[in-house]
Amino acid sequence: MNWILRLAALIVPADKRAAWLAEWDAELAFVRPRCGNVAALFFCAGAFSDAIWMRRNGELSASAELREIFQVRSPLRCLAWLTVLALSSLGLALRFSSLANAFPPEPYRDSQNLAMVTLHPDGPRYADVPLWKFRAAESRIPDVEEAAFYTHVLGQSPRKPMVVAIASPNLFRMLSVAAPAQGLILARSTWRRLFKSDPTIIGRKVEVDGRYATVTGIISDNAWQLPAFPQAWLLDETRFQALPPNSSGYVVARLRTPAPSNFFWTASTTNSRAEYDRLTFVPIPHESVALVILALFLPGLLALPVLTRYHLGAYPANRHAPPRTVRVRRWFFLATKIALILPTLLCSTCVLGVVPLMPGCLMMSWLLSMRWAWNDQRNRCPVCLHSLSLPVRIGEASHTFLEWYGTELVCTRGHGLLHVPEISTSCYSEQRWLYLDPSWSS
Amino acid sequence: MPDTVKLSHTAALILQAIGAGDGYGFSVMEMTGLPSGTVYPAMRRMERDGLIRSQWERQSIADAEQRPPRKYYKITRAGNDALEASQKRYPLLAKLAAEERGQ
Repeated sequence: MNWILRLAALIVPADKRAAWLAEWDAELAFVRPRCGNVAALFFCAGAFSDAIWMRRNGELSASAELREIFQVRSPLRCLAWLTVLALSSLGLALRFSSLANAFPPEPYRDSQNLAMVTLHPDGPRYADVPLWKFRAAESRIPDVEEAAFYTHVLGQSPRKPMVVAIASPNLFRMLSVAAPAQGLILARSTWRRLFKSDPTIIGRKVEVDGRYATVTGIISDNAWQLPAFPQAWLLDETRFQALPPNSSGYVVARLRTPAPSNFFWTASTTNSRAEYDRLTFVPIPHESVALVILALFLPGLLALPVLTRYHLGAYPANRHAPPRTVRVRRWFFLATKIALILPTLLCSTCVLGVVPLMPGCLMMSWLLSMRWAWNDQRNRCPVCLHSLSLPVRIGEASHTFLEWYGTELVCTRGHGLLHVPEISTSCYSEQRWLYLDPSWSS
Repeated sequence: MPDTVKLSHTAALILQAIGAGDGYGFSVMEMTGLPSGTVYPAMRRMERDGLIRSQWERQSIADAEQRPPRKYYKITRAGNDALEASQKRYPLLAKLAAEERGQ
């Protein structure tokens, strides 16, 4: 039977294993002759609980010391740690990743008035409008106040070629994007990656399609929400006019009246060759960031019962129950924890560079974090919000039909006891809190 | 933090058994009727919290009885304080222990 003890000893930290095994061996030597082999077998089975406790709480183990340092028994310390985590992940996200790019950009100020114009709506891209058709129809498209055209060419950065959009000079003004009225405008990510965040970039000459253009500004990557993300934009009337008439490109239009959301509609116009062109208008998505985040996190919250129950346990009131303000404070604590977890998750996902997988990663980490928040809340005293301690296993499985068996925890400040049943029964389906009289707190 | 640690009934029962002089793990089990998986971890916790302290039996005593030396536990002053406080909360605790010892 000593093999059971040796098996359990493998769980115990190595530095304490010999002493732990010696104690259990000595006890077993006493138990076996006195109580018989069956009792000795049950006795040995208890060694696993002890070994697990030693593994988790060994005084000399480094992990235990570390755990003591990061102990979050106190509610204030718990919130302080969560605040530190949120602030540090925010700082790291701002320093090492383009945090803003990880989130859906805020829509253009009047995005309901903007639409892409295409000749072939079933095609994979919208870059199908020849420049000569755009010029011919620019001011004659029905219900369109203003239109802009852009097409892609290649430019040369110090490191490698980059995609530059040569656009009609009214493009950014029409989109209400704060950018220089002319010249070469770089996306922030382009400036960082291809120009190594060169602080003297403004005024520098960069080759675009065989000719030099002057860099006049840098804009956020989020400022661009139209199809085909270029690395830079060239707003130059001369270069735009010099484009070959057959160059196909994208056309964005500002409508006189707001576009119906998520619906394509068509209009016909004649071009300079007296041909009919059937133009299809495709609205630009304009969901708010808040809505997108809500769409991401609300299902996670609804899926929480997969991992844990919503119910925080039974807290039957007795004459020692705390006033309503104390109970409200408990819910406020839970809400604050969740509010601090949210930015931590968003920022740390960006730092880890998993932006393409962001929705899945966020959903999973959100679920696990909520599980922690709920479990942590269950294991706290509802009065002082400190974590409960001194857990003791009570009873045996054979007690199931007579009384509860499971774990009992106590608030070290004397506010109450928590009974956590091992299995749910009709009598004890939930963990149950017992408020103690104030003399316990003395 | 309060001066004395508040104990659950089970923890108090184990401390009572150790305080009564049943300083070995198995004797505590016998007195309290609790299984080994409850008693030993509870004693480790109490030792960590300074309520009890442990000491190995002298090798000469174990050799004389032809068995391995055992580890025994003694209640500390802090443990006595906690036990006294617990006995006020659980009046039947001392009585239960006395009955067990009488059997």
